[in-house]
Amino acid sequence: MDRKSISLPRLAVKFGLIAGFAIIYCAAVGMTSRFFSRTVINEVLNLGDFLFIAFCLIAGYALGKPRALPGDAVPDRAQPTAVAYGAMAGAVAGLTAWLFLFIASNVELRSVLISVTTSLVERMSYGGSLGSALLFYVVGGAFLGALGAAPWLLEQRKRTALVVAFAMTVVISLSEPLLRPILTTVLLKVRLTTSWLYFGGGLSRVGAIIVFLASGLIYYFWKTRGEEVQSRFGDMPDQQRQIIKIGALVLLVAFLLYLPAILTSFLAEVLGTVGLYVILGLGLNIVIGYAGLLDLGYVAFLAVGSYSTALMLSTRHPWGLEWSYLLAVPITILIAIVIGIMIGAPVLRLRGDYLAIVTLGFGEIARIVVLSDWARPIFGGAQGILGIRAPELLGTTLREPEKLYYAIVICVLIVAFISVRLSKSRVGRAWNAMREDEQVAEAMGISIIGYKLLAFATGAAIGSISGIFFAIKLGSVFASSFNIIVSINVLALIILGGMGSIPGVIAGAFVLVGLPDLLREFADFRLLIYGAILVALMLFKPEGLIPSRRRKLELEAASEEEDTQYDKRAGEGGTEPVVTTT
Amino acid sequence: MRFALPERLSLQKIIQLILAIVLVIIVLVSSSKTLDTGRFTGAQWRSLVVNGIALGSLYALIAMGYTLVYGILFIINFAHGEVFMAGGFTAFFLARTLNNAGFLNENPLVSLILLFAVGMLVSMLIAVTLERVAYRRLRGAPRLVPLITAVGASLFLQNTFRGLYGAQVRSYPEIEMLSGRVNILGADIPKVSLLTIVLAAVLMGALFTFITKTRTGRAMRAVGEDKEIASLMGIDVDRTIVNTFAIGGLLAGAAGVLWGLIFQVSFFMGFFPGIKAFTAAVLGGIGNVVGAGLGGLLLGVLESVAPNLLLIGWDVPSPNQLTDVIAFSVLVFVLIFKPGGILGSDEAEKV
Amino acid sequence: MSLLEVKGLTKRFGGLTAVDSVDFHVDQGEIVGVIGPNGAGKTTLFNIVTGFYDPDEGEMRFDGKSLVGLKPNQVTNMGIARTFQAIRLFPAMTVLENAMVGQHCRTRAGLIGAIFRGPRTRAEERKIEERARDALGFFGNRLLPRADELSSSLSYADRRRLEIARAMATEAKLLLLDEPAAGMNPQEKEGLVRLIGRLRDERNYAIVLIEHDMPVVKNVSDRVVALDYGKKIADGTYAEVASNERVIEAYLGARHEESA
Repeated sequence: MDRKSISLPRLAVKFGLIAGFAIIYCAAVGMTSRFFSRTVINEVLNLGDFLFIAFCLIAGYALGKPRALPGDAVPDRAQPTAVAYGAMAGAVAGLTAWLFLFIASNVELRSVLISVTTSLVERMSYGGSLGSALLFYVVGGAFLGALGAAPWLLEQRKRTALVVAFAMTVVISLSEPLLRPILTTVLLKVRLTTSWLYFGGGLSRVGAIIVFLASGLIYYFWKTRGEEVQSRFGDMPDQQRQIIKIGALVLLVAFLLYLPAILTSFLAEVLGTVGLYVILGLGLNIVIGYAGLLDLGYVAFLAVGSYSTALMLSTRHPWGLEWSYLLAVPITILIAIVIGIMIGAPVLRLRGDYLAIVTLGFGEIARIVVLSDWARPIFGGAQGILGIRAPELLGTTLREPEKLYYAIVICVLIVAFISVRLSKSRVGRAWNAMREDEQVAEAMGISIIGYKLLAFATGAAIGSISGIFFAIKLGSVFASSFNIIVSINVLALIILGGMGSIPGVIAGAFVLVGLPDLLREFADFRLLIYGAILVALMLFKPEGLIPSRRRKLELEAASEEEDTQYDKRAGEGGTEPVVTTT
Repeated sequence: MRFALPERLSLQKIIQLILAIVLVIIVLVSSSKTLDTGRFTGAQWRSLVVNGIALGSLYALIAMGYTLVYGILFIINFAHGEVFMAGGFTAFFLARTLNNAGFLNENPLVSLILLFAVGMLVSMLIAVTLERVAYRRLRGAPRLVPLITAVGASLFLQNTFRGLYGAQVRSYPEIEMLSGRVNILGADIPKVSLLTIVLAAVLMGALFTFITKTRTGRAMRAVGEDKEIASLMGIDVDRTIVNTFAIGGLLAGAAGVLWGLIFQVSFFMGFFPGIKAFTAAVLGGIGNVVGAGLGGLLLGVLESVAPNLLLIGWDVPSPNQLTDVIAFSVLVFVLIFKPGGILGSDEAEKV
Repeated sequence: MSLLEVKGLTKRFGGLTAVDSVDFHVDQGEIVGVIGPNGAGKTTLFNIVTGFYDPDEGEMRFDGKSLVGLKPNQVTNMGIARTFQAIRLFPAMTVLENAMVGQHCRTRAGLIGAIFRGPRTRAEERKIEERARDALGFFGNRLLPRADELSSSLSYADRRRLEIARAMATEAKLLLLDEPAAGMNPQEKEGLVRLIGRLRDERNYAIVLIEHDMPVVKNVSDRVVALDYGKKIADGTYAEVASNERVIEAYLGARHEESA
């Protein structure tokens, strides 16, 4: 029997079930009900319904991908039958989702699953009876599944253009809280409104069509023409390329500095937070990405920076130091460096996961001590330290989000500059070598102790800078802000963005820190989505979104090798330092 | 001027020795100061110790799961705390239903059996799913990757249950059979604690027998030693790994229900116990099942007794706030100075 | 005085004596081959000399100075560089970067230099790159043109070459090569023999190599040292060692006519 035609129905059922369970999951966990209140396309689609649509489409799309028996070439596009199987997957998804509704209508689930309320069930049945809902879900699912598989009938560029168009529409719709205020300010200058694009909390109908068509077409033409541009770019001599790259960078920086003029206060504040996390990310990037030291307690340095600043600058602290920023900043950084070395020294010999746990332990110890009543005379216990004066610089007080934003951006640029310089220097090479093969690196003259401590110290210094800004921003510090979730946040963003790569860190910060602040409906599910993203990333794309070239190949190489003898037991003793005995 | 040390490690060893001596001195001095104050009576100390043993039994049960998985896959299953939580939290709802039907207190024994069954089953399911979805594909990956996956899975599970069951902290309904205290060997302990200690001991004994005497247990040990050879011997490596996770899940589920009976349940209840259980596993020697048990008990007693014993003498306010500091400090010290734990191999050489 | 002198070197691992009272020396400009059956202690000897293990007994001197108790980076600083049995390059660094790491022990720029890139740092970086390229250039057209490719993309033989280039970049006087011919076909082995000869002739290195391939050892070594069960059992020219009864016995376990 033809293997292909047997496995496709099974795959259809499998994908359908997965999609169906995903829909049920979102409903059970409370996402669906929250998402109903968010508009995607004005008066047409909300986010809750969109979940159902998206999962069915994805099931169809995943199914439509042409598969070949081993040994055969994979065809470029699918047969028309793929659409039928896509429909099947969608129908299964719909049926599964409906079964959930059926159970939920007949059994009182709310006492256990608090999100499965009668109103949710009603809403998900679209106001009709269970019977009509069945029809709706199965037929609707089938239609969507077919639609999801359909792009595979086209050739690659057109197909990707469709996917891109769809994705961009969703992204731009969801970015409404960010983009609409900016566009409003900009367009106001030319006496235009934004209501053609955004209306009612999401895209307007017209706007959706425009975005869909525009992004699809732009992508398509970029791909066809873009190759020419790219090859021309590659042919240019190094000097010219450098100039263009620097030019682009300058433009970007100028844009960043101009930004507050068109942003609202709220957005400036959000961007400020993003900037803080970028700084943290760059710091942790040096510790983990360059030197390979897995630090899960990085929040400790944020805390050190914030608390030192608070101690030296608070108007309400019993110590009453009230020094100036000129004094406080260098002292804070110094303290952080010392603490960084103190933390680094005992853990020099530890391997990967053990190092992670120990640093996590340190972070938690610091948090608990700082929070305790015992240390209250210094750290203020649960109340924290209040009344931190804002710095005065060049005649203004850095209190408003906009002004703080400038300071943060400048700091980000400085830290990024330092990161780049470090990565291309002897120090950076030493860190890389140490990360890739500690023993050989040591044989090359690299002092492992020295460079590990240097990494910790540098990471600490950078983290504390972020901490200083944090204290200024809030005007106070509370121990509860410095928990392990922050460390995980920073770790997640450099992994998402791509470890070791600076643009990656920035991208990661925007996605993981900026977006949740903007997408209110996601706020409750932020950590859930983080967790899912981390797992998905590690399973499918461990090198991140914008990986540095070396990282990607490192990970590919490492996963192909067997665990070599000297790698087998992490942290346990008795392994030989060099390979085999002859 | 450099001085050549005959043994490169001796400087470190000297530092460790000094630190160990200092630590012992601190403990002795603090303890005597506290005992001098006479704040606690002998009976109260005994009670603290017994509570510590009960708590330690719970840590031991959870620690078994960590150590089993580490022994076989060499990854720290950061999400094991959530496996523990899943069972304990889910069983709460059954308990509540049984209570509303009056069944709980009419047939306490049957109810308890049901609670444990459900809790252990749910935890086992979560553990097995975790392995299948998150860890299976990552078997050869560099160490960083499974660790981050575990962290992500932990976050995901925590918040999934938060979404499913709500963010509220819940208390198990009162089971009359278990309320009140009982007098054993002169100590006055809550009945729940007695149940905990006994049940945990039984389960751990069962586990030990299982690992040493059954075919599946031998397979688990074989896969832990050398995956390839084990598969050449006809052992189904995948199945064995699933079994390992399943057993760890069962034990954690039992611990979850017990935890619910003694304390409370919430979506967050797995985080700290998870880390402490990991500490216990490391303390006893990671990969060593007996060690996990000993480590758990030790840590439990330490946690129960140490804050009061060490800190009251120095007039530290609210010493119990710092309980976790003690647990984490133990973790940090053990990992730094003796990563092999009590029963494991000696300090890790520089790799 | 010999460049490297080892006297009575002993190393035990628990009950096993891996290296047992070994004496040997290497003179300036000499190529010494070290042979012996598996487990004879050859790599362990390398590990001790380069500072990965501390000897239990015995002396080692390089250029008159004692090597005992030195850490690997200190040994490299003194002028001894090595390659490994299983090639240990830095896989995610480029060919050039791998060689540049070799220069680490001869340079000094630190954090401040990295950030500010003053004239001294820049001069140093130039020197590093120069020396690295010079080491790569020793191998003709095989490595230099691929300087900016990742080292993991090289062929097996080229990776061996890069490992040697990296060792050369440390400005060593003595090279310890651990089974450099492993995994090579006959032509590559001939090339290797020529290469090692050139290393000595053109760059004045003293070389010790562990090898199992007898023709290679014969063609390249000035002297051969044979080990068995940690003890030195022969020391002389190839002809002398190859016809030594104890050596033959060690390899074959019985009296046998030499056939290499």
